[in-house]
Amino acid sequence: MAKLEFRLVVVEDGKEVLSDLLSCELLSTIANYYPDKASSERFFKYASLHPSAEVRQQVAYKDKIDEDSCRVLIEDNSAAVLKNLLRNSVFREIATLEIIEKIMKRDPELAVAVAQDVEAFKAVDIQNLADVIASNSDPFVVLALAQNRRAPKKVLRDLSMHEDPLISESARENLK
Amino acid sequence: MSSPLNFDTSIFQLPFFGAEIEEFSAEGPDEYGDYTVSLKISIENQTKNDWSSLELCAVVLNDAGQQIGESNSKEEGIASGDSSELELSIWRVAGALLNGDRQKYQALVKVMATSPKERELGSYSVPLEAYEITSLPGLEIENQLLVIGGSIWRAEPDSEGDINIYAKLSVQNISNNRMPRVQFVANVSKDSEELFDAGSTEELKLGDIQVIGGYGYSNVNDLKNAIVDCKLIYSSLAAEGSASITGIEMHTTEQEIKGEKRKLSWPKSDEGVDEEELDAFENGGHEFFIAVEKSQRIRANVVYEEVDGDYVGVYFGYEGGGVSSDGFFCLDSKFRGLVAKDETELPAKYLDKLYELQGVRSHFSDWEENDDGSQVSDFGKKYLKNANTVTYDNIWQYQSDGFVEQVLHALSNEWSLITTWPMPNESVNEEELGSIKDSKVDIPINLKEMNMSSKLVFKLVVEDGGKEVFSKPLSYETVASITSSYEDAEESKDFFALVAKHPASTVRENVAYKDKISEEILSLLMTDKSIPVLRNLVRTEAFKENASAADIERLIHLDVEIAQNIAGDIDSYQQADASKLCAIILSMEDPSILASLAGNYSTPKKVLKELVNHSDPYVASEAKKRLED
Repeated sequence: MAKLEFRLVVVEDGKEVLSDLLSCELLSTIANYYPDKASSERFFKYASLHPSAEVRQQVAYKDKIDEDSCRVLIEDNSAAVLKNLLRNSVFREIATLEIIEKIMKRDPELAVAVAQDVEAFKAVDIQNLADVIASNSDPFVVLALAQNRRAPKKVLRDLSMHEDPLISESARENLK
Repeated sequence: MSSPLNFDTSIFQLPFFGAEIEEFSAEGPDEYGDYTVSLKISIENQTKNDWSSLELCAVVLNDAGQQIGESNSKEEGIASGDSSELELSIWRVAGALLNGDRQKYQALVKVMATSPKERELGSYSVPLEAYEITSLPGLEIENQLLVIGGSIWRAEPDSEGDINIYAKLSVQNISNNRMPRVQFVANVSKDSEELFDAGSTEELKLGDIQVIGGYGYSNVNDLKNAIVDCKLIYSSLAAEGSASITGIEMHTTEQEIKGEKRKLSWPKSDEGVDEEELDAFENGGHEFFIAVEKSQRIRANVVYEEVDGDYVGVYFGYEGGGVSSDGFFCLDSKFRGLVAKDETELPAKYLDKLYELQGVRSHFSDWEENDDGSQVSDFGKKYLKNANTVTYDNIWQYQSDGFVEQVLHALSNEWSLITTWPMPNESVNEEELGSIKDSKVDIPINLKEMNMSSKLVFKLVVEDGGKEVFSKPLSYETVASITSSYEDAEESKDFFALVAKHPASTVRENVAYKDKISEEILSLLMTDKSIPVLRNLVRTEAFKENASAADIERLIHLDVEIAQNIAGDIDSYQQADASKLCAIILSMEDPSILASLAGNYSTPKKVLKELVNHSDPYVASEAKKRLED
């Protein structure tokens, strides 16, 4: 795809009277307010290709993006975009364990977000995902899983023996 | 009238501590006309004991000493010698309950402080066999708590080899006070390493008996030679305090002003809805048009009567941003004339007729549901059953048989309301109507925009390598947001000039607070029909630098909030003589405007001296304070 340009055009009595390139800030505002519905898919597709992460963040938040746009955003280099994507319903439908593991490795905050919503990813076996999270080297990530009320009982039982006292205590509390 | 409520006395004979309410204010109204009352309370623990928690009860009394709001809350404790500042909110206080003499409104707060105490109950071995029970003995603790008995036991291992350990304690509150927190701690540990706490926490009211406790689990190896350390931690009432304050500070938002205005000018119909009323209504000599959203909000409602060849009438409708608006009109036979918010701008001979039509129009509003009349009444819904048009965005419309559509067209040219419905002569055909009723039509994003104005369209265009690949008009809401974010700079003047002409007042509101608007835009916005636009405008640098004395005077008389703003910034208007503006404001009756003038540091001393003697005590005290400053 060649270079994309986003413009604000004003037409008065059928005549174009203003055509301004939109700043990334204004486009981010537009993306934020753009209705999250099926007919907006095309705009979301273009906006997902915008060089500004601020704009892509807004798109990643929309549930009515198509699968192609979602796959583009999965490869995004911005943790903020990926964080919004983790809450996206299209992403939650299509994300595989491999994709989620890759995102978790990008940033501990992303891994925590996955741990907090471990049950949300429909294409992934929750037990497998929970095992991956439980083996994360960052105790904060594991703690998020231990505190998740929807985490599998088997993993919580294992975590109740975790060497970190806060994790083990949280898992035990969660099992009550 | 003094309050029948008194928090100073106590039946508990507890040490008393001081508390102070530092702030007592109400903010609102929200969309339901309700306010949030806030209290800031400072408390100092001057006792020798730490407090583990605080329990607060706050009530708000009106000027007659009647209770109109309350709140109960639990807060963290305060260590001995420390102090704390707390904020309490009392939600959903109806605006109508705050209309009395606000200087006499009262807030009262009662605070109960609790202190923690501990009692060891001993250490016990974890039973070696399943369902082998270790008993905990009975005990009376300082005439406060009676431990009736307890037990510790283990269950069979589950499929994964884990064993549940249960610990339960029966306890009665035998004190004279409620115990907000009684915690039974049953720490299971092995070799000084804690495995889990099998206890739990309960509140015990006076005389209450409760079984407190729970369970935890571990594997069989960990539980070998493990012990259970038991203790009770209970908090009892340790001290009490109270505070009160008189005079509530109101932080009123724009909605109240609109609501109050409407209540004055749009009397509520007390009559019920029946067929006779409908018949009488049909034959009343007036014509009407009504458009209602799916949410039951009235999008537009016009009632008029032909009098001596003129079309004299009233209108009401949704303006955007949660605000509905109303007004009056008088059009000649060619549908030219006056559309105004203030009925006195219309020929005086029609005033009685306008008020009569106002009463007619009020039948369409449900004043119970929302006091600004924005929701359609049951009466209005009867007409909607026979609606003759439905728009793309599911707005039902009905017009009486003799309704002349040109009236609506004439109004839409003058009217700042969002006229997003197609005019009756643009109504959709039956086929379209059916599909819309089924709600299967995907509303294009541009529809609102297209209907908003036939002259001006704001579009988002995407180009890929110079070739247009996407183009869609933007909704007025998006244009309003873009305007708000648009840089307030010289380079933005072209854009500001276009949005200043946008038919949606919410868009114009956002350009009206930009400082970098040209004199041309300023002139355009100064004649805007939307009060919120004008309220923003009077605060801008452009207005302060360029507005003439005549314009300022006109706006002062147009709206109370505008007048308050100008009074509070009286020396900023460069084209006007501040002393003349003061004289205009001094001639106004509304004390809130005079209070703004009295509170202004730039108000001339001579004016302040005059205001010191004002009959309203708040105006006088503000003026006095400024003079002392």
